[in-house]
Amino acid sequence: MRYAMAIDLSRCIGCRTCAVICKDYNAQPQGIWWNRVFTSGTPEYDVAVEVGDQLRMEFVPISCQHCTNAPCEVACPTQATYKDEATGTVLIDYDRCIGCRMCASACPYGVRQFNWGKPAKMVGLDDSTYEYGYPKDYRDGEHLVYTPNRPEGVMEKCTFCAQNTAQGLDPACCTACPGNARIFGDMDDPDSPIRKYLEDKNPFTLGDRYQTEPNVYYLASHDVDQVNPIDPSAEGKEAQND
Amino acid sequence: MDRLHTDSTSISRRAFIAASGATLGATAVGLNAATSTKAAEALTEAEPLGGSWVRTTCSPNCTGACGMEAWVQDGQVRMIRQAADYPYEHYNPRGCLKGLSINTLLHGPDRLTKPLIRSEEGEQVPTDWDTALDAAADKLSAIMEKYGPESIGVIYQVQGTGHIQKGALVRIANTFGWSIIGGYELNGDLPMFWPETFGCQSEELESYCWEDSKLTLIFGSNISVTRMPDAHFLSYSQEAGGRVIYFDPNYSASAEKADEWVRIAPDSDGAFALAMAKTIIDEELYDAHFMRTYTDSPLLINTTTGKRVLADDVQGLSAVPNVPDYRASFVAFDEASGTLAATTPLELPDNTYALTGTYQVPLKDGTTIEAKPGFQLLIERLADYTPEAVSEICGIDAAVIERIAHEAAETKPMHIIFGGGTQQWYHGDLKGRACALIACLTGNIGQLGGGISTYVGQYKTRFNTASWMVPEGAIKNSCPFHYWVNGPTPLMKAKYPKDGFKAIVVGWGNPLEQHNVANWLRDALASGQIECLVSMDFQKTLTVAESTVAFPCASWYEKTELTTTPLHPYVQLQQRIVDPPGEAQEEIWVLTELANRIDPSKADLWPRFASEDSEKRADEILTLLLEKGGPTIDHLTAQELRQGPGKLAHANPGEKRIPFWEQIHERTPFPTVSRPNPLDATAKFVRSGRIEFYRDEDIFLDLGEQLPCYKPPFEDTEYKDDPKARELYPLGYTTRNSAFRVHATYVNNPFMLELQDNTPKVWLNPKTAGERGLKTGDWVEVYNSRGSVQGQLIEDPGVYPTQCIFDQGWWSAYDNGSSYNSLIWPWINPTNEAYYIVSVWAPNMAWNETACNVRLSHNGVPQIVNETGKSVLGNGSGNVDPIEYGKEA
Repeated sequence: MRYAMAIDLSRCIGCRTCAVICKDYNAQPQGIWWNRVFTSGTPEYDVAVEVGDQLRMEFVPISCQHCTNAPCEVACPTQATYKDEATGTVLIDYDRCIGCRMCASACPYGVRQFNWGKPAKMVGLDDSTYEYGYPKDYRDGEHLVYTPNRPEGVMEKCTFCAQNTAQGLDPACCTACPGNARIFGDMDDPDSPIRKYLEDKNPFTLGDRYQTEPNVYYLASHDVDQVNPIDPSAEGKEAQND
Repeated sequence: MDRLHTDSTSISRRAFIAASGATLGATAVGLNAATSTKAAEALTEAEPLGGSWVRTTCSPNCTGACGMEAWVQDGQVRMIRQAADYPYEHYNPRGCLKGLSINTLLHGPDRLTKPLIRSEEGEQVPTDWDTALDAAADKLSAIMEKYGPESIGVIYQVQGTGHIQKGALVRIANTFGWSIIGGYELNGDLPMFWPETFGCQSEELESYCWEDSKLTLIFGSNISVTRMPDAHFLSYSQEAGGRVIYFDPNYSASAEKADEWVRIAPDSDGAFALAMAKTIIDEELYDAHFMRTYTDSPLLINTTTGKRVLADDVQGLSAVPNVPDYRASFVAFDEASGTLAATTPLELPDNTYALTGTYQVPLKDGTTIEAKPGFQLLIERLADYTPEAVSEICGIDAAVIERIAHEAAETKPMHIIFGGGTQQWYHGDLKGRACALIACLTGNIGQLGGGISTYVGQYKTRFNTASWMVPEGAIKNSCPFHYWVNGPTPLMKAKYPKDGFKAIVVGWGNPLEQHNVANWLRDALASGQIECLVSMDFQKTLTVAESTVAFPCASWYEKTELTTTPLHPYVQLQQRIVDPPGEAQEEIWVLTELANRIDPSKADLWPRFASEDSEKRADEILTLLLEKGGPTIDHLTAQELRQGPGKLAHANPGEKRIPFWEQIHERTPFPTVSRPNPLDATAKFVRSGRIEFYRDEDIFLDLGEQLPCYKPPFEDTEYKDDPKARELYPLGYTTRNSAFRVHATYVNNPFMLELQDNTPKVWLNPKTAGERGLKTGDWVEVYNSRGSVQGQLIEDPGVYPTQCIFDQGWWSAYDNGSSYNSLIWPWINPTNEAYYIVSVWAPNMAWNETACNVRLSHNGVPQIVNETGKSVLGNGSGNVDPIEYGKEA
């Protein structure tokens, strides 16, 4: 069994629902996002990027790629980061993590998020507080791989919602995507939803030169024919070339 | 992260080697089900979550109406997920990033939990319910006594988001004769081309019909941002081989998701559509049967007066029998008999009427007039709209216009989405009439997946609501906000309060931020022109903070409410999952108390109940509304709706409702009913019983708008008002909807703030920015003669060089005190005054008809508000610098 996720970028509208449900469901405090949606070529949201003679706004949701050949696992000095043998899920045992952040330097995808000890606890009404996220700890065997009450100074990242998959449920981002662009399942099972979805399609993975063998597969977005995409006036060209 | 962003080769494609397991093509839908993997073989089994998920309906002022489920711990919503329980599987899941994180608002620091009252010293202080209710009742009674009840304006959110609690505000307005200020027109949501062409408020495809379209033309509707839960139906249409063409001056997520993006000049969509119409007619690609049968094309127009010829005026003819007052029998030339014929407005029979030609018509008064069919006049008018001529207006090659015209004529079903971005201009109605013409010329009206739709606002009343909203002895008053700002006009048909507006009662709205000329409204309050402001809200908005009396109310997780939307066919409930916090109460209790305290004799209309019984009372009204709601809803019960969505009934066969089915297939005359009005109140808009492209009211003739035409932006508004504006304010100001808010709701959601760096932004084309010496990151001011707003500049090559974009909905507290609405004026187009029916034919808000300019502000140094969405470590390490989401590159 090999858990994997497919993201159909043709269906992705860049809405960031996946990022927000991930944050809310997995009790990520301010500043921490396990799952982010980038627009390729710009740091801003809602900005077009010149690609050749076209404008594009190519959305790329990025979270842990759950690499078969995970550099973070190799880099971890305490074996806090490990790969679950049964599913291939890359997980972090919070009990073992010493917060050295070697894994973050090793990860070519920048998806590991270091938690300085901020709880997912917010200022509420009249000096009260409120908390959010899955309320129960989840241990894979001995490993504490999810807890809403993070120990101080641990690395965290996408677990494919281990607390869900361990109940036979899909990760929150996959069930929440309003575009049905995210498909989860077992790559070893030819009848799984992900395998069926990817059949006859040409998925790609990110950062192949790092030889990480990711288990998050992307399908490229379709082309967009464009009529007069960029200001054709000579004046405009000059300004853009400055 | 730079590896992912600056080096595009890092996102490489590699062949995917799929193990052979030949099954049918990829499944396209329904992927939100539980994974097929067995937990036992996988990770250590997790103990079940326990507790329960309770369903409600997400109901900000949004068309989504998404079913949500919440999981509660210690009286707080701790997790939210989409209910995904719609019987039509493709609707699942439904819900976006905002609704899925509303827990941050429900329990956040901006909740309003105590009644507030303004003391004699003018200071706002918390108080108890009795004091607050009595104070509001006393002040409103005194104003009713002194100026008349119509001097109290009622600002409420449009009906679809709530019929019971929001309906209670309509009921109290109708009880006392307060003036409803129609939110639909105030918000610019009223697509005036609908009543002008089809005689109804609007009709539209529910979004699951989009997947049935083979061609979708979208004019200025940013579906991927503003209709997130529906956008996938466009994807499904594309996956089934359909095409989506998106027209917008600016690049957007919706342009990215289309098959083709046409970068059309701002406000020129109408000209484009007219050139398409000319091409379709010249090349005889149009559906003559449709035009002859269902539209006014064959009706003869007196070429001297511009008026339609009445059968009763013509020698040898008389009106068909039994024509009611609001209908008329006109005249056409019957080609089969070679004679003039009286047309019937009572049905839509096949006919052999001429669409073209010039006819001499003898009148009963002895004179003879020259008359032409409306279609002939249309052909003559379209002479000005050759693709070559329109190319100059739109900045699009003539060949492209012709290609798209051919595609629209030859692909069925073809659907046009006419968006707010296109509509919300002074001449938005002319553009809509032009686009409606394309939908009719191609015979797409009344077909599954075909036609024309407008989705702006959750306006639509989908069942009969009078049983609750219109009490016995109702006094119905209404007056558009436009007249309050502009003053009464010569053509005004609405009833303006004799002394103007003296008080406003606001429900679920924030007019001091969200109305056009928000600063004008603030001044009216400060100057005492508005003597009393009463508000009901669940959050501490600026409007609440400025209120004379503010009532803390319930969110859509804290009460029973009945909702509908134009986007899907399901009736749903909001349900009480957690109690309203603090002293907050359901609106139905607040308004019952207020009504009784204003006038105890109204007790029979407003039976009192204890606040603890609010849910019981809401349930009674729910049952009443369902029982008396008429054939679209009366098959549903409260009990069923407590479990999940119930589907509205419709007339046509098949799963999906098809707009105008009865007109096209059963030949019932136009219009359809515009609830809550009776049919005869609106039928006069299309007296012929047909779709009307020719309008012969005097104001349309005076302005040359009897047929659709193109009129350029700003000439009849900004430049007419101030000729210097042409030079001083050369940019168009677009205040588009943000992905991170529903209007202003969620502005204070800390997750959304993080996603935007806590910073309002201003988007300009790099060329436009360069001309002003501005660059990305600069703090700038967008201004015109009326006001200004600030923000951090982003250079975006996707913005049309003559445009300036600001994402609407930022509270001014988050934007260095500046208000984006301060620049915007509610122009009144006199054709919008030809009739008046609130929210059906009324002056409509043209947000985009605003000229502006941009300059550096605060030496370019960002004025970022940080003390929002605080973590508990707000003063310590937890509250870091503005979150640099997406800045890693």
